[in-house]
Formats: sequence, structure tokens, C-alpha cells
Amino acid sequence: MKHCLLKPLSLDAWDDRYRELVSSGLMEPFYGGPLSRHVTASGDHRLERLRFDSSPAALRLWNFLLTENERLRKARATGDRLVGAMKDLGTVPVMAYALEGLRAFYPDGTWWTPCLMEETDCLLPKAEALGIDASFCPVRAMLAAFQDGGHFPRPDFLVCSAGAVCDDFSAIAQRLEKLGFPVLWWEMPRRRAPEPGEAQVVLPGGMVTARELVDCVREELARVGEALAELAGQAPSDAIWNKAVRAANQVRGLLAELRRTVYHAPVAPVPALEMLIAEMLAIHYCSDREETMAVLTDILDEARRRLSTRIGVVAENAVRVFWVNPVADLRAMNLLEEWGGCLCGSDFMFTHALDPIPEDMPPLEALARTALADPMVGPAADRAARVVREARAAKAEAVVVARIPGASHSATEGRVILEAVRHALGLPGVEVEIAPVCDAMQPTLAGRLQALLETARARRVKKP
Amino acid sequence: MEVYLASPWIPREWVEVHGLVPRGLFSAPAFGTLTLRMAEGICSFAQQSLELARMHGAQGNAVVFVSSCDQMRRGFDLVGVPQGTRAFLFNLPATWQSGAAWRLFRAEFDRFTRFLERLGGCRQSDESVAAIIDSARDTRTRLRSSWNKLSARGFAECIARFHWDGRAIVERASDADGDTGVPVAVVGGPLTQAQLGILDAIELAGGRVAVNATETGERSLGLETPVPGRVAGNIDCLAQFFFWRIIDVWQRPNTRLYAWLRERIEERNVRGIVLWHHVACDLWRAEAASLREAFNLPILTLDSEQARSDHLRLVHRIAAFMEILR
Repeated sequence: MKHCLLKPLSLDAWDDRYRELVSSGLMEPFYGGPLSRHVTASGDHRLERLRFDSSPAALRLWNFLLTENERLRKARATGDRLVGAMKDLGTVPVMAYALEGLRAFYPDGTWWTPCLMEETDCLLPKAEALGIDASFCPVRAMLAAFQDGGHFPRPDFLVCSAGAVCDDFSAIAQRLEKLGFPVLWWEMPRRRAPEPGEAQVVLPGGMVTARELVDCVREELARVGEALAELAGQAPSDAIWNKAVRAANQVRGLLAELRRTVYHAPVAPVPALEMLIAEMLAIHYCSDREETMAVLTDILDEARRRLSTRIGVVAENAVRVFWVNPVADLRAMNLLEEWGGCLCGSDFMFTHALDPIPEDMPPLEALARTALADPMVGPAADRAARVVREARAAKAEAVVVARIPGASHSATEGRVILEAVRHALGLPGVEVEIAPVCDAMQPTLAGRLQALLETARARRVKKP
Repeated sequence: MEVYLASPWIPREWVEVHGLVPRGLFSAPAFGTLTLRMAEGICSFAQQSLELARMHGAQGNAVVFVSSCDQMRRGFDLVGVPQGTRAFLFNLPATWQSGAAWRLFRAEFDRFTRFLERLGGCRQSDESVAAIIDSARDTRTRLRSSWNKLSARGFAECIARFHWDGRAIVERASDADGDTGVPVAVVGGPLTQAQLGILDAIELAGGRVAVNATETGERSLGLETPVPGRVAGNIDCLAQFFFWRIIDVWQRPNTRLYAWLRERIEERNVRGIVLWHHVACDLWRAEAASLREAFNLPILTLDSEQARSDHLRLVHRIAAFMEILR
């Protein structure tokens, strides 16, 4: 029996769909409304070029994502203290949300603002005027956003991991501090395998590292925890952090289920773009942990409903692609599907924020292990091994590594990952650079991605 | 066995103490002369280091990289694994104000020691260790104090020589042109021997390099740490000595670098800063605006690609900069 193909909607089409849904009794959360209002109110013009999933669950997901700055401002107005966590992608917010009166977010997320606003906000040229030019990763937009204060509210406290992190980010965060935004730096050592005879620890995700590195990170997280607790006017304790870990695991559990349901389905029931957004919620819950749970539950329910009724969002013969790294232009995820691919697995640079945090050990030890499982703090070979494992499990037919323009890690990691994929799985792969607004590069992108998809399809024919 | 060190912050004395021969990879005469298989986005210094490390590794020597920048750290992944037990990545903490950072360095120092022992190194008697440490410290002190006795190139070559074979020949007659010329600071990443022409160009244009704060210049000699007497018998003390002499751009916060610079810029009446960086080195390129704000001095930014491909243009830019400063 064939699957029914559900076509994505343009922004205009979503407005019509929205009216229909409302007239048929759609119940929305407080941040709900038609998606097109984000274009008129916030200047998110890229939405006009994106294609969206047509479900109310997707509407809720998008509205939740696009109202984050508003949510942060409201939180500030009601007396919450805002924590700007930087770089670690998934650990410090887990701790912050356990403390009443704190809201954590990643200013790093501003890297998508030039894409969403199609650079009409001029954050990138403003960053250049502050000394960080186009040879740096688009995360430099964060610098200008801090300076002009027009995007997210200025955090009350900034904390950033240092050490085994991207040079771009480290340099930009240092520039930020010199511009008058004090930062609490904490050490994230480069992960390495234990030497013979050295005490070792298994990390979430299965990697093994030296005990002394975990001790270092645990000690640093205790220092961060003390600072957060002081900001919240509370005393830090294992009980608080335990609560934080359990709550984080609820979100991670939902995401794991969503990923399993979508990525292992014969025909994807949720589009690649919405999956990218859903996964992103793991890192700081888009500033509202409870609502994140509700949003993810909706998406998961929709995915299950579609699976059971044989509804898919891509053609049945779509090429199954494992995607590595987030894309600076969200449109790239649409293009993958428009050109005949579908997402069957991902490593958007924060797999450590998706793995469950161990609950059978002291919470800071568990968080330290989780932080050290960050794919960006260890050798690219570790990351490649996970990509291989997950691509195999998802029956991937091709792998795409998205290069982040100007990012220090992008210079070498793609080659390592794609070589591992070719060697272990014999799969074709390609590295593509995606700019914040990739329209001008679309012909090149099309050439590379379509060639990859064609190669993958050709391999199907050759198989006995 | 020769042990090639990719950063001046790896304690070369400690290698010598183990009966092995430390060599500053960045001081290698061949540095900057290799034809590279460049990939987009790779820092040229990291790429040269990788090629040289491969070359020396193939000859049975050992290589030591540091974790202080993403490019070198990831470069090690490409070089270190094939070299197996003869390659080591020294995890230098980026932070320096917390106990955890110090303990990480201390643990790495022990691991480095075990690495040297695996290479066949054997720590010498306490007396010999003390002699090596003291001698290196004296040499560094002597080198530091010779900044105004030599031409910019002469001083840089002396430091390179020290990192290469531990020797420092600074007793020769002064070749510096007194106090003439506009005093400038050259600040930035490693300046290899093939790139020393930049220093000549500054002097030819009427400048005087009053501070060579590149990673291979005066800064690489570390701080004049007040360690009275012999520290060799106490490993903790020695590790502290090595830890605190690090002054670099990748430290977070990098205020130690700025404090070090400020002291010399003020003391030597520096009137302009030449910021030198390798192409794709984010850590240094990002500092241009901060340096300008911190010292309120004019800045000229030069990169390794200009130095390689368009030397004439680079000379003109330096000359124009000196004219402004005059």
C-alpha cells in the first residue's frame, strides 16, 4: 500500500490553513498566531522562502521558536534573571533551569538571525565594524546583537566554556568581554582516550575518556553552579542538580523517541527542517522547559499518527541522508527534500545534548560526563565513529557534511568524517558550505547535492 | 631522539632533562619552505607544522602538539594517530584563574613526563636537572635583556636558535641601530624564519621593533618569574614555573597577554602596533580591534599570505604605516 504524500506549505498557504484551523476550533498556546506575523512584526523575511509542515504541531513548534526573545523579555519583566550560556550547547542550561528565577539561553543562537531576517538586520556588517569580519563563523552576529540590544535582552550573567572549543567562538566571546560584557569562563579540556593504566570513564554515547578530564569538568561545573546559585539567591546542592538532570532527561527522552520514530520510518513523517528545529530545543529548551515538553509531545504524536495512517512528507523513493552540522540557512533543509532526499539521521553538533544524562551517580559527575561527550571537544574521529554507527542503524544511503562558513573546525573535520563513512559503510558523501542566505549559491549547492542523491540512487540499482 | 615541539609553551627544558633533544618545530629552518597540500580554511602555520611533523615523524622522531588552538588540535588528529606512541598532544588549559585549570596542567605535565619516559627518556639526577633548568632560565633572561642590543632580525634569530637547540649567542657586538627609528610592537602569532623579512621591512622603513610579541619572539621566552633558588627537586614547583610563564592570545581571559604588552609598550614608548597573523588564524585576527582600544595606538594588520605572495605591497604598506607614525 502506497504512502500518501503530504506537501509542505508556503507561508502564504499557511495563512490560509491557519484561518481554516482557527475556524475549526484550533486551540493555541499564548504565543500562537499565524506564522506570517513574524515577517511583519520581526522582519523574519526568510520565512517567505521556507516550506513548512502543515500540522498544528509544526505551527506550535515554529511559533514557540520565533517568540523566544519575547519570552525572555517577559521573563525579565517578571523578575527572572537571565543567563547567557555560551558554547557548551546543552550543559549549563540544564543547571540554570533547576534554579527558581533563572532562565538560560544561548546567545550563540543569534547565528540564525541573519538567515531569518535575510540580513536586513545588518548584524553581520555591524559585527564587522566591531572587529569581527566575514572570515569568521556567522555566530559573529551575536556580537552585534549584544551591542545593539535589539534582539535578545542583555543577560544578567554570561558563562562560556573555553579550551577545546571552536577558535571562532572563543575569539568572538573574548571580544565580547572586551566590549564590556563580563564572562565567567570555565575549562573544557580536549577529550582524549585514556592511556594504558590510566583510570577511565565511559561517557554518554559510549566514548571512553580519562578520569582526570571528568574530574576537571566536574570541578568547573561546581564553580559554575555556585555562580548560578548565587545569582538565583539559593544554595547549590545535589538535590537541585538531581532535579535538573531528571527534567533534562524527560526532554531528551521525548526527543530520542521522536528521532527514532521519524528517522527509522520507511517514509519520513516529519520534514527535515522541523526535525532540525525540534532537536535544537534540547540545548536550552527555547527558554521554557515545560513548553518544550508540550511542543515535542505534539510533534511526536503527529509523527506517530502519520506513520499509522501511512502519511509521509517525502516520496517513498527519497534518498536517505544522514546530515552532519547545522545549516546557517534553514532553507537548505527544504532543498534537500525538494531535490529528492530525506533526513534519516543527524549530528547537528550537539549530540551530547540528546543523550540521556546518567541518573545513577552524583549529578555533577553525570553532567561533567555529558559535557565531555560533546562531539566538538574531541577528535573528529570520535565524531565520525558515531556518525558511522548512527548512519548504519538508520540505513542511510548518503552523508552530507555542512561546512559552516569560516568555522575553524570545518577546515578538517568533514574530510575525516566522510573518509570514515566511505571506509566503514561504503557510502557516498559530500561536504557543502552553506551561507546564512544561500540563494546565490543555490546552483552550486544543487549541483553537489543532486549529484550525491543521484549517486546514491544509482547504487540502489547496482545492488543484487 | 629528537622531540619536535609545536609550541614554545611546551617546556623544552623538561625534554632535555630526560636526555632527549628538544627542537622547536616552529624554528625549523625548513619552516615556510614546504609546498603544501592546502585545504580551504586551514591555517598556513598549522598546515606547515603538520607537514614538518609528518616529515620528522617519518624519520623516527617524536612530535608534541598543543591543544591551544582548534587548528593545531585538529591537525594533531591527522598527524598523531599515524605516529602512534611517538606523538603527544599537550592539553594546555585555556583558563588560568581556577584551581581546576592548574590541576589540569599539573596532570598533563605528569602525562608528558610519562610520554618522554616511553620514548626512552630518563630523568637525570636532581643536580643535573637543576643545572639544566637554571641554565635555560639564565639563557632566557639573557635573551630577554638583549632586545635592544640586536637588530629585530638578529634578536628573532637568536630566539629561534634557542628554541631550536637551546643555545643563545648574544655576546656578539651590538648590531642594533641605537634608539633611532619609530618604536613599534610586532604582536601576533608565530613569525617563522622565512617570514623575518617583515622585521627588516619595518627597520628599512624607519621603524624600530621595540617589542617582538609574536609567538616566536620575546614573548615566547615567558615571564621573568620570581623563582628563587633551585626548583628542580620539586616537580610541583617546576610545573608551576612552566604554567605561569605562558602568555598567549588563546588564554581566557587573555588579560595576561594584555598586561604583558602594556608593560612593554609603555616602558619602550611604542607608537604603533603591527598585528601579524597567519591566514585563517581566528584567535589573532579577532584581536585587532581590542588592541586598538586597549592601547589607543594605530594598528597595521599583516597576514602570512601577503608576506608570501605580495612582498612588495607589504613593504609599501609598512612604509606608509611608518610615515603615519612619524
